[in-house]
Amino acid sequence: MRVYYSGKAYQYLTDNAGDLREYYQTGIEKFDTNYSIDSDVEILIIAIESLLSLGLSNWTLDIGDVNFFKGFAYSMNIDEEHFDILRKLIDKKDYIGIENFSKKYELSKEALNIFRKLARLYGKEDIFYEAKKIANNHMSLESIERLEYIYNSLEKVGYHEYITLDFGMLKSLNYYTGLIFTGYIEGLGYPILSGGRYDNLCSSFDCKLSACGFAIGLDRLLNILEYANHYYEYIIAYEGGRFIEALSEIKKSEGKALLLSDCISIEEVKKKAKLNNIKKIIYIKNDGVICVLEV
Amino acid sequence: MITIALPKGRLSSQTLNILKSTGLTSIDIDEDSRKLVFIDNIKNYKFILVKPFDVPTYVEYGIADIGVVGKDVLMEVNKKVYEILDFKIGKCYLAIAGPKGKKEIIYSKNKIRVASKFQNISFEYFKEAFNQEVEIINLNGSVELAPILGLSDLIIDIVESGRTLEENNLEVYDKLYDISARMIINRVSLKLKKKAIDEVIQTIERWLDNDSKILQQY
Repeated sequence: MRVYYSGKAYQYLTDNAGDLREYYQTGIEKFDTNYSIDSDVEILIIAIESLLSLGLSNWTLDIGDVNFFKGFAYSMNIDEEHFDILRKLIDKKDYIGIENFSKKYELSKEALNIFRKLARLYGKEDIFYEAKKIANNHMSLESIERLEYIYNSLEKVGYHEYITLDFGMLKSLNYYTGLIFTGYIEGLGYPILSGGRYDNLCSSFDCKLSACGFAIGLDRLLNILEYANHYYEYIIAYEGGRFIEALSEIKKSEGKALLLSDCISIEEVKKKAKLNNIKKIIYIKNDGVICVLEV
Repeated sequence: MITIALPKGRLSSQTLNILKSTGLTSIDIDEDSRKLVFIDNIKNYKFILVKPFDVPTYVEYGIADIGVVGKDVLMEVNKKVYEILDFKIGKCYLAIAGPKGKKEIIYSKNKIRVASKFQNISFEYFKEAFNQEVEIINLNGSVELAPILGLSDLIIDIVESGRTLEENNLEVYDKLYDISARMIINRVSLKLKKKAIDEVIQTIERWLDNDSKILQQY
């Protein structure tokens, strides 16, 4: 079953950059009766295609798996409360925090080494090799194999260049059960897209389904599109009474133009173009003459 | 270009000294001038000077890729940034302090008033450590005045040499956390400007390693 939605969402806590209490979000979910790794691949490709369709240049989809960390934590018998403290430290890549934690809870030197390495296990595919070197338990090894399969599948279809790996990325371990991923765009300091696999949620509603999905923050997206100068190729502006002509121009542009809907003087249009780093202006004068200006 | 946010004050010149001795940059920052942005065109770094409490904010929003700030500030503001390196400078500690010789009397009061610049740290600490009612009073500076003038029973503040406490007839009751300057990194920058940022991290890490070895030799 495939579901998509787009609408308002709410949250009480708004501690982080980019957070709003009421925000717009659009997303997809895929539900299967049995876990299928193909669903992971499919969801990731849709995420990549979504980000590609924005036409932005520098972005990445960061992927990881919560079970890599879980495997270590289980094999070391770390209890649930400390589990979450440690998860947050690793997610923040807090090197010193991890060290203090391991001192306080008397973790072995080997454990400290593993968790510190985990915080630095990010990059491209060579990270798989590094991850395998430290994986000393079944659960962690399995998660590497799964991610490697996913990565190789994406490579076969030519999507791997958009993927980076981060074994130290750790979202809520109560919610996520496998693959997790985050989309980052240059110029926006916080994530634009977030998702993962959550196979336990449906059973809380008496329905055993395996599930994977993601959401894009639309308010965040608007923030970045406003800054993403190359998004518009030219500006369309008009003098009073020529709104209809402006509309037909914007329709012709197929999304490549920015329409300035208030009738403003050509000087102001030039200023806006400069501000947004747009090189071309189409200006419709009140006598209906269409001027094309390069700035 | 990599943007680095430095906290106005002593820490910024110390940090810049480290960056210079690692060879990462060679520019001078004149803190007495009113300039807030300094550009190293050769190495492609931009330095911005901001208030310490604002460093994590600039980094969280990605306006700065890298920031240098005390652990005390990081604990207090709790922003989503990567915290990768200990600069091992600006060493001090957070402590509970109060009037000399009155620790027992104050700790046994039914209600304790605490003045601090670090509201969140104070709240988290007392929630765990004390059973009685605690009122936290937020101040922005000269916290030592509060117990002297009767605004609070205790203070939570950073202590470096202890001289300020001494001169105001106060003493440390309990040491809470060790503090030093940390390097923080924006989450997106670490991934999208990996090469440039890795270079900064590794260069400084190498330098810090060597430096501590040299220090140990003497």
